[in-house]
Amino acid sequence: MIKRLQNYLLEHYPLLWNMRLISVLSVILALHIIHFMVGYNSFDDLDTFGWREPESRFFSTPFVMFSFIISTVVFILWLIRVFRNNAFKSFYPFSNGQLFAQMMIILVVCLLNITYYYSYTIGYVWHSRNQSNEEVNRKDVEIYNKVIPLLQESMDAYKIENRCWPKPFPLSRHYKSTGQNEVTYQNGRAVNTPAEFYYESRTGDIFTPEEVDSMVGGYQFSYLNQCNDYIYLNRAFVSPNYYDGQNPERESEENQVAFAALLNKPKELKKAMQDFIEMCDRHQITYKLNADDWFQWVYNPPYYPVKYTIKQWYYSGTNMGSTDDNQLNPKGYYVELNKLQNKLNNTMRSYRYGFKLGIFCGFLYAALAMSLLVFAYRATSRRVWLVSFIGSGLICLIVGTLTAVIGINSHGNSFESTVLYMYLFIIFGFLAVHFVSSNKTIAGACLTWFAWSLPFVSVIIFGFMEMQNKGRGYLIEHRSSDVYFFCCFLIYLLVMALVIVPRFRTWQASPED
Amino acid sequence: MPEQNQSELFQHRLREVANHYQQGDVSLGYRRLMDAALDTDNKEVFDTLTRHTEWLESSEPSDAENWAKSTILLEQISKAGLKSHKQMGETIVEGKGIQKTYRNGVFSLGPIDIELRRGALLGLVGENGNGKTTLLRILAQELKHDGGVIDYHLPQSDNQYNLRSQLAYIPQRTPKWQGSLKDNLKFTLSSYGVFGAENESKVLMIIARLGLWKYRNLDWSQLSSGYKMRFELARTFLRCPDILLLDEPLANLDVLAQQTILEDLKTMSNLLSAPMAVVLSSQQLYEVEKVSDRVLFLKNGQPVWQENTAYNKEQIGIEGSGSLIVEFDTEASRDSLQAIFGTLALEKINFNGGTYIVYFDAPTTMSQVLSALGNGGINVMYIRDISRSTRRFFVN
Repeated sequence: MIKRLQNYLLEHYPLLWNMRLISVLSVILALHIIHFMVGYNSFDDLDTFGWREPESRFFSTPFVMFSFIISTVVFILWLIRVFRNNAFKSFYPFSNGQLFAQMMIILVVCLLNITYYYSYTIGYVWHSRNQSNEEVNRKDVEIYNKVIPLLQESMDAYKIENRCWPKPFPLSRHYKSTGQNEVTYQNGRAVNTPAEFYYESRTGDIFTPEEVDSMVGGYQFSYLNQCNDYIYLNRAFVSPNYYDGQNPERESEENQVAFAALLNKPKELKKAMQDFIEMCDRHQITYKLNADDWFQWVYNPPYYPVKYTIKQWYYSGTNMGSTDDNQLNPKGYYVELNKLQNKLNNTMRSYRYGFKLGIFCGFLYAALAMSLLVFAYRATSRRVWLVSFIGSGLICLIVGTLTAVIGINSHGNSFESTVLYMYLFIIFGFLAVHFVSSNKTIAGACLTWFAWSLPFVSVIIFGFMEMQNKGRGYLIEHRSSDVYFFCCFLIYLLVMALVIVPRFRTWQASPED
Repeated sequence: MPEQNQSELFQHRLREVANHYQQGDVSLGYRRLMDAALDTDNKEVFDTLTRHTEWLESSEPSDAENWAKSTILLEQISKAGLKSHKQMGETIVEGKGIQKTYRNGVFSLGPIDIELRRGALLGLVGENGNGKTTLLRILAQELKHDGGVIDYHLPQSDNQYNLRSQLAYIPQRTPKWQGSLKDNLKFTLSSYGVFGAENESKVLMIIARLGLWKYRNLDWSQLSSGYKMRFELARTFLRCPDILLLDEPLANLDVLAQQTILEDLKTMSNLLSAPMAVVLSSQQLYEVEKVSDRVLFLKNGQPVWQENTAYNKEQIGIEGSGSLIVEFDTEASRDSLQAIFGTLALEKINFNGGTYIVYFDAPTTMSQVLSALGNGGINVMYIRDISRSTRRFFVN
């Protein structure tokens, strides 16, 4: 089948045959399928991954190394085959359009060969979404959030410092002096003086530890604490520097309010517990618990002190060995809570997953860089390519030094504009030298440098725009920057098609000096 | 050459084919048959010839069987007729005062006047480092020339890339290629816009013509130097260039391969359907002279001798102008030779350690020399008239 297809391309579309498109695309397709399957199966591997945004999951797996190596191998093997039989260099009839098409084919192959990430992620998201539909997942998260404060595993979660309900909580703890216990020596004996501290409410009221004890009826450990294990339903994907969803703190507070309200409705609380146990069954979460016992342990009005907690580590076999822990959970009840949390979280995030132009632009520019290297080799000679490649390092060194020198000697805002003009001068200087040089190698290297460095113009301009905007107190919307870079990419292709590719063709045909 | 004359020539070539077969020169007849088939540029003819080749390769028929089938093929070829797009003999390159000096000034070429015609083969000879490759590269537009003018009378010579598409330059070291021989030829032809079944037919035809039938599925590393050169020729002929420039194509080839390549070059350049001008550089003087219509000898970058051109012998100042120069190999002594040739207008006898070079004044003829040698009872291993050959520049 593949042989027949190749023969058809050979007889009708020589360029596609010459680029070994069928074989390379077959291999890439097979690798995408493998990545899809690995991604699909990775959903169940909750112990390794925990929960992660689908976007970042691929890059945190060891599989990424395999992917990188195999992608590199495929690329190199393809190049070895493609670098033979160059119709353009043999001066077969080859129009500018065909030369540009060749560049686009290289770009597409490079792009497909570095985007296994998408197959992996889509495989994962596919499996994840198959777990339950979005509405059911949302309801499961709501059930989970209703009772999760009653399943806190760490004793720290129940300490008075973390309490958030009722008012005047939450309180901030402050130390009067250094915040550390002091050890003094009296008659040769060490005497430990505990650090003194006090509490402060959000309204600025001060409370002593004794006053706080009296407020909570002497019990410090309580279910009415700030819970850190909520799953945020309304919080969208966040990158480290960018929030576009609702404030997670507000959502956490709303959950706390709902939880406090639920404690006043014992029937609803018990129903929520039953729903939770049912949900564990549905998600095949291992547990040893029933709603009746659970309700009895936790329902302690009016202060809701902690009577028992449910320890996952008992199930996982890690014996904490603490007497307190055994007293808290003498019957060894447990819920495989992390797994449930990861499953719900991952499913919910997979529904939020969508195409991100910014990430795609990253791949696009990486593929462009690779394809420009390959294209330059195809369109020029080995000597010109080597001169260009080695010369690039030298140029970067010189430009970097010049930038540093300008940085040291410039004052105020002149740095950005001076460096920008210098970069543009150098980049377009390559084009000028290409036209005037009588030496074919130099002319070819300058044209190659121009083609290679032109995509950086958009990055340089963006960088300086952002620097200037930051100086003025503005922030560029990242969505706009994604569109900007995508548009720059399209403009570059246009310049490539109309200016650079015809120059490569003219250069190739020109005689040597 | 007018179109009518080309048709006559085509018919004449068909008669020659029949003659070769009838005289028992089956192998030659078969090659000429295929040349005539190529002149038709007809897919049906190509397909029939391809089947014929397959039959020949697989069944080893008798000459009579072969002739019987070939007669039918000749009829088919005759019926299909000549399909010619280009005129034999038209001038396609005119170079006046071509000069090239390298930057270091060590070597200068020219000035050289040159004229290339369709269907004509120009031999370029000279010792190493005398400018043969430089001239070829200038003609191939690979190298700039400092002085003089080169006019290419080609249909698409307005654009430099298109011009170079019409020139085929085969360097000494041909590039390695990937895939099978046949696939590479198909690639070349489809790059030139011949697609589908027509592509397959023409490629198989040229494979058969150049004796590559058994090797069509082999790759580069499996071919010998001779077959690699034949592949290059096949590829070039499929391109139908107007000018073919070959730099030392005979280097590293055995004698038989050299003869085959030269014969193929000569006949293929003379194809009526697509005649091309061929420039061939080599140090195999005898072989090159045998197939060339004209020979250009380069010494220190200067044109020393060129047959049928304005370069005359006084200008060049060569020894033995207008006289007969004979080179021969014999065990006889110089004295006995002088005695034998005493009756002729002997000028001098030179011995270079291997062969004698004997110079006679006009009007001595070669037949007189042969008679003298025969009458004198001299055993001759080898003899050649080099009066008009560049060989005479190398014998001393």
